Amino acid sequence: MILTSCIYLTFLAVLLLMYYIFPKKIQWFLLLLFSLAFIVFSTSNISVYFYIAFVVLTSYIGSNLIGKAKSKKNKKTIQFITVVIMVLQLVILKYINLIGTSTVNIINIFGANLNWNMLEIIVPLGISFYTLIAIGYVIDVGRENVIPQKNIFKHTLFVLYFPQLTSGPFTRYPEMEKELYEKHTFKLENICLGFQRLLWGIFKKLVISERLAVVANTIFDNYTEYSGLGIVVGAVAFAIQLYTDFSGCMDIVLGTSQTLGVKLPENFNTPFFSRSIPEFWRRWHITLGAWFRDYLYFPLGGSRKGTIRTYINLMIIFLVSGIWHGTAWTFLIWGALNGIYSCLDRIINKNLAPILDRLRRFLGINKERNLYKFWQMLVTFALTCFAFIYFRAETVIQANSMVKNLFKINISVGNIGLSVSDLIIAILGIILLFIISVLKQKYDIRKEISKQHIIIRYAIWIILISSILIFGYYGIGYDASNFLYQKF
Amino acid sequence: MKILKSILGIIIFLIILVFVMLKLGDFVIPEWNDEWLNTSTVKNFYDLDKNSIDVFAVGSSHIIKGFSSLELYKNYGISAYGLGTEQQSLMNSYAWVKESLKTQNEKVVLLEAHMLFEETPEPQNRKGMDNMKLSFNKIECAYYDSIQRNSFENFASLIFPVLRFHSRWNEVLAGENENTVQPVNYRGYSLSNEVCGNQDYVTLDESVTSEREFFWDYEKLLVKFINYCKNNNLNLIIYKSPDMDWDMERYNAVKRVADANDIPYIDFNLESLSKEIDFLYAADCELLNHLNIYGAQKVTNYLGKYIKEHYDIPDRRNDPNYDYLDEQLEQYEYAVENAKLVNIFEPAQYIEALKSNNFTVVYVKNNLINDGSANFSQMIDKLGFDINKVNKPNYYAIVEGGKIIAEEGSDAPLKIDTKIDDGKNLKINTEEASIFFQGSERSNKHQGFDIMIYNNKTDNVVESGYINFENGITTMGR
Repeated sequence: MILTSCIYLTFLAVLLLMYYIFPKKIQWFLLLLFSLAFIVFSTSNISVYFYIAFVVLTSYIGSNLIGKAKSKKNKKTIQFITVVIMVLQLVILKYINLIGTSTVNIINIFGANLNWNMLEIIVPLGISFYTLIAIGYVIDVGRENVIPQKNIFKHTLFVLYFPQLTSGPFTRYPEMEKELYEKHTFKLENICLGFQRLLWGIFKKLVISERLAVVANTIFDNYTEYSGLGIVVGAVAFAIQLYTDFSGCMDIVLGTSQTLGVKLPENFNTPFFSRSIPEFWRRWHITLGAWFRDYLYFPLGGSRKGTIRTYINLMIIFLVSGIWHGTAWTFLIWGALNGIYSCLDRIINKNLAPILDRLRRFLGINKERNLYKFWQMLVTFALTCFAFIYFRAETVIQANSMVKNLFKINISVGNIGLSVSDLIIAILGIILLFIISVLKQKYDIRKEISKQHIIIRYAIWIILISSILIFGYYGIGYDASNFLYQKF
Repeated sequence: MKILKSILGIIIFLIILVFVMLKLGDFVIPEWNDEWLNTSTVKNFYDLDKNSIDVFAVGSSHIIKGFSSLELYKNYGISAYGLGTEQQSLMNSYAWVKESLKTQNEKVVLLEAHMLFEETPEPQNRKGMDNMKLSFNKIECAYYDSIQRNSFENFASLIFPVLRFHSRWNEVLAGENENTVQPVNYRGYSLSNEVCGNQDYVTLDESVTSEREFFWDYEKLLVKFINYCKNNNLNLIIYKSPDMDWDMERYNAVKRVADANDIPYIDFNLESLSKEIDFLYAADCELLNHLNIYGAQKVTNYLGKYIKEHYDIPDRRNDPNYDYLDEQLEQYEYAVENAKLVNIFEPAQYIEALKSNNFTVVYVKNNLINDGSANFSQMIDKLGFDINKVNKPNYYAIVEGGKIIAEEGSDAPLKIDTKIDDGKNLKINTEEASIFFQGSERSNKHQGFDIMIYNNKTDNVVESGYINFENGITTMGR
């Protein structure tokens, strides 16, 4: 089910009616029913139901066995087996073809003539999300941070809670236990703020992201025709497209959840205002970063096992993050680039900090000046966009070619695929997004709006909805794509 | 109390939102300004005076091209309206009948049967629905349609067309809707003078006894439609226009349902009826299997006669409340006259037709050869021209309502700059056989008399033609 569709909004409206009219004690059960209905509406493929049930049952049985195990060793063993089973399922479903073709290609280098027949596997929507949520939960149970949920229905709801099912955020059981299973009273504020956020998410996706997708697709699909500024425009368009797409999706998810009174963790915090790559990763896909930190980086030793191990661990995290995003070498390189950026940042800011400070003093650069901060933001944004070339390109060859052409001097952008009127709408949308992002640094905009007179509030709502209805890329005449992160 | 206030706030907001969404829909819905008249037919329907129609026809393009309301008024004094839209679905026809009863109290409903066996494509369906005002009838129709198409999105966009047409926002801002000129809409009738000449049409093979299945759930819906009409004292007549695609299996299916529900069914594809109305497919139909003006007159007049004989429908011709129908009829008849003129291929008939009171005809001589024969003199005489002037190398004439208002023959080339029909610019150049009218060259520059025929009543150039004399014979062409 597409989160920007009429069906989804109707689905939510029906749930909300039942959710607040029916007795509060069955609210969590309604959420479960609607989460299952969401899956059924999204796919009719029986094998997908099986894969989902497999993750739910494996994590349920594993966590309860861990809970019952007497010794720590037994707990660890069960935890290990459960996690391995779930990781294996994920690897088989998502990566078997990549592993197969890559292995065959490597063997063929040595003179063999093998062929990998691509397996036709239907990868369930959002598998990377709910599998990682379930793995995190099992690890938390193993660490005795969490008492396993004995009610299988409640457990199922935690893993498959529909707003987060396809794109996250990655939730943790302790924070969700209270949110999902407790009774929620109808609060107009929740409904208003929730829908406000949901609509803002739809605006970002349908008005901004889909237009920029046209630009990015035009340039990336015809990359040989572009160089210099054309490639820059393509990379920047894709960066903003991805941001508005994913953060828009998160706004819909969090907004939906807010209408139900269920608070989900934030996943974005104006990442393009970051002044360094590590900061970018603390503000972009926050819950994924936190997941990797808690369940991979720390178990690997984090930064406590010496400088070299720290760099190795950082590289591992980003390589895994890269491959988590997609089954192609381009994602691995994108992850590697971000790993390298992070390592370099660490080297510069930790090991070379005194030299840098002296250099700044010598050049008379004041770190606290806005211009310097802006420069840092610009450099971070440029590095991010550069890495995104690999993220968006279909093949490594394409990405390399684009990078090569990036450094050719050409100030002509070429055809960007958008009409002038659509380009104006896209630019106005980005300006609005920028203004809101700046204001967000100082104010809670949604709260501020809610304090305004009812006529102003209604006017804001109506303008926002009208903008989506008129300028949105949806329905016949437009080919609005699904959310990018649902593929991962 | 606080919850009630909250709910009230939400309801008020939703009402405002619905209003805004409907208005945005009005902003982006396309104007279908082609020969099928979809938009204007619906809009004109809503502009009808309250309780002003006695016969209401619904259906597909066979209504648009085959049912002439003004023909009914002219010959039977019946006030009728045809709400045909392209490939109108049965649920849409049903909805329009229900919608009509909000403002009208018609006594007879005509349902053209073509679409009972056909699926209406989504774009065509929109043409019959998008301009229907939001009502329970529209919601019910959208519901049926969405069930049939198994598309909830379709339902939502039928109620709120902005969801379907929003991508047109920049076209609307560029003023695309206003740039197109719509053909004249004669109470739901689109006049066509095209003649197909197709000889392949055959009437129904009445030996066939099998039936074709109705489309989707249409048999049930048709019975529902019939019952609705009965319950509301509407006399429903199902009829089928002459149609190349119709067959006996469809006839049998419709006939069975009509008989079972005691509803008249008139099928013009039956041999007996086809003969009775003297129907000739080649002459009475246009290329795309629809009736032209000749066919529409035959079918409509038969329906009018049937309605008059079977139902008590008042004659509105002398009712001052219906004077506007006389005005519409006048315009309609001018248009019919125009339409029929272009199908005349016999010179004598053509010359007679040009003498109509409504026409201003401009003649320019172009290398016309006088062979001195009696036939030539006869031709000039029929046209009413002065043969001495015609014999000059340069000649032109302007004839208004059959009377010559200007005629000149000269040895030297003539260049005339004048005005006709209250100030419309006309330039004639005999040397080039040019008739330059309202910014366009209207002469075919053919040998003989080049002619431009302008209708003063409908304010348009009907056609450019010529009358020639060759080898002792008068010829014509266009």
